[in-house]
Amino acid sequence: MKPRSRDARRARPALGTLVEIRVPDFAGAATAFDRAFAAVERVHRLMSRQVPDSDVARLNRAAPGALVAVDHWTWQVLKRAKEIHAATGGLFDCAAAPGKNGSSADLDLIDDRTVRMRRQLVVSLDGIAKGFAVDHAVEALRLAGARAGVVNAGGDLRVFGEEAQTVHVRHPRDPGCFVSIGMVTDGAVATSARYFGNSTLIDPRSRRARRTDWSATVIAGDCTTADALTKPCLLDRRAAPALTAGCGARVVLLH
Amino acid sequence: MKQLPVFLLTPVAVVAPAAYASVYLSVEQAQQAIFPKASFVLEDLALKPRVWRVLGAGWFIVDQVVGKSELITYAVGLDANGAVRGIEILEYRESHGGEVRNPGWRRQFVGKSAADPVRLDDDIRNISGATLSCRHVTEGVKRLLVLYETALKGR
Repeated sequence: MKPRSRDARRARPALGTLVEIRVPDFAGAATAFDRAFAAVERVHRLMSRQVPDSDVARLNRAAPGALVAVDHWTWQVLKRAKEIHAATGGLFDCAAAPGKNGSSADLDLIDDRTVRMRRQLVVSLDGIAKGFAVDHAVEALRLAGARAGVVNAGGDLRVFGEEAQTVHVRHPRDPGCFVSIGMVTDGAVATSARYFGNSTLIDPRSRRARRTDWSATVIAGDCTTADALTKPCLLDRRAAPALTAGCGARVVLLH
Repeated sequence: MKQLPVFLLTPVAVVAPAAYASVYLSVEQAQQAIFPKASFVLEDLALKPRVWRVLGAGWFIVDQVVGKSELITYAVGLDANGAVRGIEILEYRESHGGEVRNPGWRRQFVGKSAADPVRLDDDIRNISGATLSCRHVTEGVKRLLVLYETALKGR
């Protein structure tokens, strides 16, 4: 697909990476960009472990049995994280930390803004929050009048609109090379790989970091799901097709 | 239950550019993005970051940061009190020449040459898989805030 000079594009640092947004240029594009980046910033403020008063930081300080009030967005991410935990036999676990016991099964979701911590946990939404941010950035773009576009948060991306978009994946052992995996319409693509040691993959079964030369690319209807599923696919490559199909998604593994 | 996204698997094909670059905004476009309709006066500080005084509104600075394999040109807008008003990436350039661990895997594509029409005219724009953090940019912004305190404040 030839590059279209009619596209408006922006990129800003966010979520620890570069977030890139592209829409066909239109009168409301500047506002659409601002709203979409604001949605990404909101996810960062709510779910980053580094932000002192984020929902995640407060969950990680909570005593056993405590009820913690969280933003509805955080609650939604935790809900999806627990669903994917169940769907992957525990291979995705937002509360599986090295050297600690506990899993996302140890937190309960109450009404739509409260979490009960059954024990002290170290919760990290790093493996799912980027995808959620992308989904909400897309929603903000749509509400602001964009009829098509792409949001790409450091490689977790979602395409919306009528036109199919080509997607390339970095080769895991040769990051300057891009492998075309085809065309996506109205869907999300997320990839996990080590890319020379940039990311840490914790195996919830052993609580240890796993090294791999593979990359897992998940294609799903939404980026929250795609993002979360990449890790289980890397941890159990043989089960990857079944794990993704069970969540209405597909996977491409590269080595 | 969401429908499976429409996904057409094409033959796996590889594009290996010498380097990948993406231009998002020119200096003028970034100025307009962060300070719409403002007037800019270039400040001659004889320093690497380029600084503009934004009349009545603050400062606009274009700087560059270098990571292990990437070069990022970015812009920061500061309001009259030195607070960050906006950050935009102008240009992103990457090259992984020194980092290939095992180029042998490319041998499976022997027979396909640089002239091969498959995917060559395809704009590489939707890339899944990240190699960089924005740490360098956020550190650059911190340095520019120090620049403001030491060279711009009260100027």
